[in-house]
Amino acid sequence: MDLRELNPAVKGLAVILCVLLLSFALNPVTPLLTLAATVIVTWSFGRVSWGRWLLLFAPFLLAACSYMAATVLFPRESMAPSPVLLQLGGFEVTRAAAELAASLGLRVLAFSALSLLFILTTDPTRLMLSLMQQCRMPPKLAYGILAGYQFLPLMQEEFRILRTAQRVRDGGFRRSRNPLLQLHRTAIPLLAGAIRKAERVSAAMVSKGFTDSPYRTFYKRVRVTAADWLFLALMVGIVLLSYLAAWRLGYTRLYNGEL
Amino acid sequence: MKLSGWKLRDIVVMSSLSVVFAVVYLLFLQIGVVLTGFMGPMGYEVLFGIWFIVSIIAAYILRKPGAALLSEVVAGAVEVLIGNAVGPILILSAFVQGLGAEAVFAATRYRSYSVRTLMLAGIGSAVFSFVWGYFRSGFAALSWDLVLAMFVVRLVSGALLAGLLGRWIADSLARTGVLRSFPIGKERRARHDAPA
Amino acid sequence: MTRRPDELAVEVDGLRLAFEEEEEPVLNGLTFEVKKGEAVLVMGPSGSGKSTLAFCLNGIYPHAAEALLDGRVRILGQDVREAQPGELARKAGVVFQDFDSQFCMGKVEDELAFCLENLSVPPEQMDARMDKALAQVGLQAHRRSAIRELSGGQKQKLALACILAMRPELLILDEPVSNLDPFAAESFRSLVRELHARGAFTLLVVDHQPDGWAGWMSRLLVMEPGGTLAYDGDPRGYAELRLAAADKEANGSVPARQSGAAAEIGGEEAARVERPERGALPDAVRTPAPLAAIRTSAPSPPAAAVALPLAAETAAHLAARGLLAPGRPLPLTGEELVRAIVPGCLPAALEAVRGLCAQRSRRQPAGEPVLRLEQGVLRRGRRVILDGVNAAVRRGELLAVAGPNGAGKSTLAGVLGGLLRPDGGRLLLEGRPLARWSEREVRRRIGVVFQNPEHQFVAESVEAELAYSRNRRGVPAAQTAREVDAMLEAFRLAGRRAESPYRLSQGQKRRLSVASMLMDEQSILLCDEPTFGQDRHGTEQLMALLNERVRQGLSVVLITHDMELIHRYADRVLVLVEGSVVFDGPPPSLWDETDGFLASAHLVRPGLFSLIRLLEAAMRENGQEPGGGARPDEQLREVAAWTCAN
Repeated sequence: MDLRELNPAVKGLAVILCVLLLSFALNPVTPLLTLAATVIVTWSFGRVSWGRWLLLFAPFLLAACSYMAATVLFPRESMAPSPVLLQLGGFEVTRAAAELAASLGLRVLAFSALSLLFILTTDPTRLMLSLMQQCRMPPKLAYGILAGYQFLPLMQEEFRILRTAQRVRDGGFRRSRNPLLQLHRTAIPLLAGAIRKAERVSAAMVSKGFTDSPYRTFYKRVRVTAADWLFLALMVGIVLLSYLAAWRLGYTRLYNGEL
Repeated sequence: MKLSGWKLRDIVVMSSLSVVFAVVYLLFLQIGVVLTGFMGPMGYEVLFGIWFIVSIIAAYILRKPGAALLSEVVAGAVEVLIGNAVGPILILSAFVQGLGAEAVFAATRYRSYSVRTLMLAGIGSAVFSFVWGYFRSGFAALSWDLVLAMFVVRLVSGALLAGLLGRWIADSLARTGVLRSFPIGKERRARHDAPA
Repeated sequence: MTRRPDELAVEVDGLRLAFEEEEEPVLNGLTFEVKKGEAVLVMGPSGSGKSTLAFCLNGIYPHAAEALLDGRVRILGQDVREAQPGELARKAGVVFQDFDSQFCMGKVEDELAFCLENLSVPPEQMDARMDKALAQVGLQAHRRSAIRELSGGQKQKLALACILAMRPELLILDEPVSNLDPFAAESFRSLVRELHARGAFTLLVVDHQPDGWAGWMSRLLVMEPGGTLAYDGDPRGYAELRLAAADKEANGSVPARQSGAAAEIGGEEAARVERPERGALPDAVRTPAPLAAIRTSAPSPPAAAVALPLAAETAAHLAARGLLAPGRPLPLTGEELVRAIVPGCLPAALEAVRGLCAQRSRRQPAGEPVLRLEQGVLRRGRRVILDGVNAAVRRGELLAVAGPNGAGKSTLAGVLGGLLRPDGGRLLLEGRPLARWSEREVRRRIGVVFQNPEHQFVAESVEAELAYSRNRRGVPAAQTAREVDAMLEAFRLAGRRAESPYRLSQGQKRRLSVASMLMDEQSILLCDEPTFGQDRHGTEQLMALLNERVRQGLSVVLITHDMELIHRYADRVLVLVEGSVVFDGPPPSLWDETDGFLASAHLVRPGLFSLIRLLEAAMRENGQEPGGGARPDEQLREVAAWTCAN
C-alpha cells in the first residue's frame, strides 16, 4: 500500500472519521495509541521524510504543551476531588487535572499526526480531480480554486519582496508596531496584484475553451479501489482498538458530561 | 452545490483572496504565539477575529451566496498546504467559522453589506467557532470564568478585527481601482454618482 | 469586392464596445475582415484598444466583462453574442502577455490535459495530441515539468502549445513577447512564423513594435487612441506612407523614392491615415545624438504613430544618400535592406549606418567608486548564486547589468543595496565596509527601485508617498512640503498629487517609485528592471529623468534586458552568467563580441548593430573587407580610455 496512490477523497474521509471518533476520548491512552499507530502508518506507507515530518510536527507539540499547561493551571472547580500530585507556587496540580491535560494534549497531537498523514501524501491536483470525480464537485469550482492555488508560490515570493521593499521605504526606522497597520500595508498590494492576476487567468481559462458545463472527459481518472477501503478500515480499526486498549487498562471514561 | 450566480472569474478571485490571506496569516501566527506567551489562551482570543477576515472581505467584494463560507474553507485548506497550521482539522474549523459569517449574510438575504452586517458576520463566525472550539480543544476543562471571558473577547475580536478591519481593507482595495468590475466597485460608483 | 462568408475567419462590422454606459467606448466603429489563412499584425499606441479587440475576437468579451457591444462580430461564421462563453474559444485561441497568469494547473501535462478535456477529447487520444503540441514548440522534454520551473520564454511556448493542442482555426497572440527578454522574444517570433507557414490557421498578432513580425505578415491594422482604425493594408505600404509624409514635412516635397506600392493604396488609404508623424523613430535616427542625450522631458506619444520596422527607417536614411537601388520595394527586414543597396555601395552604406550608431559622448567613469563589491559570494543552500563577483559603481555613471534569467542579477542588486548579506567578499560604501554604516545611513545613500512599483507603496496618496521618508526622518513639515512640490514637478506628477498611488498609469507609478527613492537625496539608485511592464513612451520618460539625474552626479545601477536602452544610456555594462561576471566594459565593445558569446549570455545586439553585422557579412561575401577603421573615432577613444582605467 502506498498512501500517495490512495484515492484522496477516501483518504480524507478516513482521516475525518478518525478525528470525529477521537473527539470523544477523554483519556490519555486512546489518543496516545492512535498517535503512535498513525506515525507508524505514515512512515511505513507514506514515503515521507523524517526530517520534514518532525519539522511540521514540532509546532503542534508546542501548542499541545500550551493547552496542557492551561488545563492544569486553570482547572474547572466542578471537577471531582482527586489526590494532589504536585504543588507549583500557588497552583495545585491534581491527578484528575493532569490526566485530563494529558488526554487533551495527546488528542491535539493525534489530530495533527492524522493531518500530516493526509497533507504529506496528497497532491492538491489529485485531490481536486477526486473531488470532481467522486464527490461531484462542479468543475467550475474545482478548476477555479486550482487556478487561485497556482498563485501560492508567486504570492509567497511577492510577500518576501514586499517586506524587503517596505524595509527600504522605512529607511532604517522601525516599522509601525501596530500589527493592523502592517496587515493593511501588506494586504493591499498583494490583494491588488492577486485580483488582477485572477481576472487574467480566468480569461485565459475561458479562452482555452473552459465552459460551465459539468460534463467533461478526464485525462487522469482517480479511481476508488479495494486498497482505499482497506485503508479506511485500517484507520478506523486503529482508533477502535485504541479505545479497547484504554478500556482494558482501566480508563473506562468515555465522556463524563464535561461541558 | 449551487453555483449558478458565480462566474469562473468570481471563483478564481475568491480563491486568490484566500491564498493571499493564507500567506498573510503567517504574520499573525507569529504575533499570536507571542501574545499567547504573554497572556496565555486569552492572547490568542484577542487575535481570533483575524482568522475570519477573508470571509468578510470576499463576501463584501463579491456579494454572492457562499462567498463567506467558500473563501474561509479555501484559505483553511491553503494554510494546511503551506504546513503552518493545525492540519485538515483546520479545514473543518474554517468551515464552521465560514458558516457563522455566511449565516448572517444569508439572514439579510444577501442584500445588506453595511458596517453593521459585516460586524455581525464577524460575530457570527466568533459564535460558531467558539462553540466548535469548546468541544474540540477542550475548553470543557477550563474554569467557567475564563471560558466566559474568552467568549466575550472573541466576540469583540470578531466584530472589530474581522468586521471593521475587513471592511477597511476592502474599501482601501476598492480605492486602488482593481475592483471596478465587481459588485463593490459598482456600488461605490453608484454612490459616487448619486446627488449628495 | 465580395467574398464568400466561408472564406472569412473574422468579420467585424461597426464594432463599438464600452465597459460602462456613460464611459467613452474602448472600440469605436471598427470594420474589417480577415480571410482564412491570413497573418495580420495589429498595432496601436497604449489605450487604442488593441488588446480589447483581441478579447472580442475569441468571444471572451462581451460575456466575461459584461461589456456593452454594438455592431457585428462573426468569428468563423459564428456571432460572438450568440455563442456561449468558452464555446468560440475552442476554435479561436489566445496567447496573452503575462506568462505568470495564464495557467490554472501546476504541471505542463495537466495544463494541456485541461485544454483537451475542455473540448471533451476522448482520453485515449490525449497523449498523442499533447506530445505533438509540445513537439511543435520544442518542449518535448518538459512534459512532466512543473510550470513554475519554466522560464518566461518557455511559458509562452507552453501557452502556444496549449492552444495548438486544441487545433485552432484562428490563433490570436496578444503582445506575446512584451514581457520576454529579446533573446526569448526572437525565438518565440521565429517559432510562430514557422508554425504559421506549416499550419492551417489564421494568425492575428497584437504588438507594439513591428520588428520580427512585419517582414513576413501579410497585413497590418493600425489602431489609434479612441479605438478606431487608422490603417488597414500591406505593412510595407504603411511604412512607405509614413516615411513619405515625414519627408514631405522635412523637405516640403514628395521624394522620388516613393514607390508604386505606396501609390496604389495611396488614394483611399492615405486619407485614413491621420497625419503620420515621426514620433516613433528611434532617437538615434531622429535627433542629433547629443540632443537626445540632454533632453530632460521625453516626447508625448503622437496620435496614430506606431513604430516602423528599423530596416525601413534605416532605408529612408540610406535612400536620402542615394545608396538604395531605385524601384525596389521598401525593405522591412535587415536581409531585404542588404539586397536593396546599390551594388558597390555597401561600404558607403555601412559607413552611413555606423554613423547612425555614433552615440552621445559617453561619460568618462570618474574618480573612486562610491559602491564596490569585492569577490562577492552568495549561496542559497548548496547553490552558488554569486560566485566571486567584482563590481564597482562610480559617481555619476549609469551601470547596466544584463544576463540570462537566473544569472543572479537581482541577487547582485540585493547585495549592492545592502538587503542581502553576502556569504563571502566585502561591500564598500564610500570606501567604508557596509557593516560599519547604520541602516539609516545606508538607506539615505542607496535607493532601491523594485520591479513592481506597487510593492513600495506605503501611503494613501502620491504626495504622502513622497513625504513618507522625510516625515520618518523628522524633517520639518514646511521643508518637506517644498521638497515634495519640487519632486512632483520634476517627475511630472503634480497633477495627481492627491490620487491613490495605485490609480496612476504604469508610467506614473514607475516615476513615483523612483521619485520616492530620491527624496532623501540618495546618491546611488539600484533599479531592478524598471522598464518591465512599461510601454515605450513610459520607458523613454523614465530614462530621460534618470539620465538627467546621472548628469548631476547620481549613480544608477540598471538591471535590464533592453539592449537599446543599454546602448543609448549606459556608460558601462556588466554581464552576469551563472553568477560570474563575463563582461565589464562600455556597450560598444559588448556588441563587438562574437555571436556565440552574446548567445551564451542571452543577449541580442541592438537593431542597428545587427544591421551592421549583416552589412559586414554581405561585404565579406563580395570579397570586400569591412574594416574596423570606419568605426567612429569617439568609440575607439572610449574603449582605450576604459582599458587604461582598468
